Amino acid sequence: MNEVTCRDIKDDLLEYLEGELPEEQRMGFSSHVSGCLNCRKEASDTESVLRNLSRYKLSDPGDDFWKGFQANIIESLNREKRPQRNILIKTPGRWELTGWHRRWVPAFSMAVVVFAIGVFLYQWVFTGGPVKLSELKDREPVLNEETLNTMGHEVEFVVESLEDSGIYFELSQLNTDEIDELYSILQQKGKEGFI
Amino acid sequence: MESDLALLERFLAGDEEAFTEIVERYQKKIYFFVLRIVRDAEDARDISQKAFIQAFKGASDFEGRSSFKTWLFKIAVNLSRNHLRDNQSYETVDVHSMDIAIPIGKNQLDILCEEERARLLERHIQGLPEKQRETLYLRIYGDLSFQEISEVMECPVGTAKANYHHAVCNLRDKLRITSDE
Repeated sequence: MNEVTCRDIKDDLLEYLEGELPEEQRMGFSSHVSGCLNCRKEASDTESVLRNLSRYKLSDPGDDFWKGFQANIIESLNREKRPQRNILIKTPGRWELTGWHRRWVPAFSMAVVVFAIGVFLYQWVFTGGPVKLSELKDREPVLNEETLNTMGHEVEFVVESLEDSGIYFELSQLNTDEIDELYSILQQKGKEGFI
Repeated sequence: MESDLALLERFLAGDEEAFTEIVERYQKKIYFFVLRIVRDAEDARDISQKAFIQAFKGASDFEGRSSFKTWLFKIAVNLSRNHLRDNQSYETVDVHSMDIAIPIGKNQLDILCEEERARLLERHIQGLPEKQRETLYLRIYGDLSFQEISEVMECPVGTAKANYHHAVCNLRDKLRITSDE
């Protein structure tokens, strides 16, 4: 093992004092320091500095401080997790409703839909539901398919007459009573020369 | 003891106990380190809280290349430096503003002498170059190894050792001069 010199002590004094030198090297250092006045003084003064540095702690602010410390961190992290209000100004799309349209157009559309549903339900409930045109075809001899196809404006006339008397229907949506009524009216009109 | 990485994973999964555990593990070291640097209790509290907040906010990006401890200290060092730079208070610090804990069991005269010695030491530390001072605090009060200090200070391990060595030797020489006066 090489002999430890004053230069070695100067370079590695801190490692020696902090116990970080390997055992065999430490023994050489101890031996040199005990026999060298300058190095002993260096080691003693440096050790004193290290001891004082470790000794002077700062006062602990106490449990309440640390509870508040943690609470502030949690609060800050939670605050940042919350969704932020969207403050971006959005440009409306081509078909996007803006201003008063946004309120009234959907309301008007809804009213039209409700009205249409109301009319449909009224006809369904009070007229017994639609009857298919195919049922009319069986009303021989007057309302066979050929007759219906050739009726033209005369049928419309009969339908309008029925509407005037409070019977409202589409030709494809006649109930049994209406068919009977239409049948008799057509017969009557046929006698009068309309068909 | 559960590793920092395991605690971080638990924290990311929403475990509040893991959060408390990891904060309690480092809060004193970080706070006192920052307090020694910025020398104001209120600023030290704000900065060290901010260091934890930044660390937790970036926890999902933490790759584990360094330890959570060195990462946290690195954030604290940077925030403290920024604070000093923004406030430029370093030149005008009052070394009496810090409350130094004196070991108990001493008489009044001993306590006064201890306090004076502690403040003298602090004053000499404040006179050290920034890198030496930070390295000294990280080593003595942060209990960081030279490897960890090199990661925090972003320098080679040899440089961290040299800074620490110069800091201690400078203090020793200054204290010698003071005692000779």
